[in-house]
Amino acid sequence: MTVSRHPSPELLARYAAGSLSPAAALVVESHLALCNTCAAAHREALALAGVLLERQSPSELDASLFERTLARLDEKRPAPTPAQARRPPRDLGISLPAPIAERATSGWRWMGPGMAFARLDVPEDPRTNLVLLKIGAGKRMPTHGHSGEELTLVLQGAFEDEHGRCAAGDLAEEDDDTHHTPVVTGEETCICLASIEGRLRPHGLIGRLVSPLIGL
Amino acid sequence: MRPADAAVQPFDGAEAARLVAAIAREGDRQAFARLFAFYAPRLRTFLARQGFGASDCDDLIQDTMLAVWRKAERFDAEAGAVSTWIFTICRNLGIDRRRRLGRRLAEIEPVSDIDPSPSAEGEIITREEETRVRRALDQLPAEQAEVITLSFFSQSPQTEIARALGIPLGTVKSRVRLAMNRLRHLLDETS
Repeated sequence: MTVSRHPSPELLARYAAGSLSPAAALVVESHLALCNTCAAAHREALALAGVLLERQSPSELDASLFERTLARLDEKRPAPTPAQARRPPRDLGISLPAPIAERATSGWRWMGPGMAFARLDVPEDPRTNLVLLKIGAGKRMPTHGHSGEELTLVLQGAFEDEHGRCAAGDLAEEDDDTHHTPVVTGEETCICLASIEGRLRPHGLIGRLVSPLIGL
Repeated sequence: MRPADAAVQPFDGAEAARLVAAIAREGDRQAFARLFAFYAPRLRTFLARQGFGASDCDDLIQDTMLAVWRKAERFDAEAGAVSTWIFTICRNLGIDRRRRLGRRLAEIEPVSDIDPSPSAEGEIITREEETRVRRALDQLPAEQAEVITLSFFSQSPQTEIARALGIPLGTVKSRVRLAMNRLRHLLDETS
């Protein structure tokens, strides 16, 4: 897989720090699973974060925090919790990157001619939606703006927008400054994974398309 | 026992690794105290920047340092980068806490089992790589270093960078890009 659109350094920085919303983090993680270059960039970002940690100005701590921590050193270690039995996720007919492969999904739902979506279950993230989107070749989307952050990872096929082609493995970042007119190119149906921020006013491409259907 | 003087000088990577090795070898509490004295107040700053409240900060610092104590044996003191390791433990615990909090907000039962702790701790980052990063950051002008720090650690980087630099929000993106490019250049140069 030749990946040509990668997460920006800013996005990788926030991912390394752990500050992305859980759904957005899953999209970045799925990209890292498909892209060795970014997997290496992520390791470097963690090293950067480690060195930045050294350089933070120290904050004052509660006077008893050290004593309380010391008192816990001899605590018995918690037994590892046995893995819960997983319900096998519904088969969507495509192979999903490992970070999302075990997620429960809604299954494919019809959204319009040549378009379907499936919602992935991210109960730990009530503010962001994670969806899979399946769009037939040649379909054009309306121009739109954004209010929240939307991350889109192409899993199969390709679309094209004003920034160029976005093919399998590529990650497109959109925020409130971007305008977007993607068209699915090639013969193949395009399947994307997208995190859509915001519950009330999704303005993003995918958000606009699916919001009436998933009750955003 | 008291934590060593909080004004400790930053460790070099090798000394931090020796302290972790002493914990692994003989459960050296003095070594633990020195690591705590250096890292705990800085973890506090990081966690506060991430938007965690006081009691979450205290819990996460305790859990991070407890994990350092327990996992010291598995840390590769020959090659491993201590700051990256401790940062990654804290990051993962923070992510875990946010997920739990999110679930509570949603008031729904988990229907799928989610890995409680991301596996990134296992990533191998060597002390050499950390040293290379340290060298690159040393050469970055102070203002750009601040931009990088906020890009990494701040919960709302754009707003805070605008405030810290006294520049309009609209120009933040280009400043960030400039700092990131400069850092990239320095990192490539030192490799």
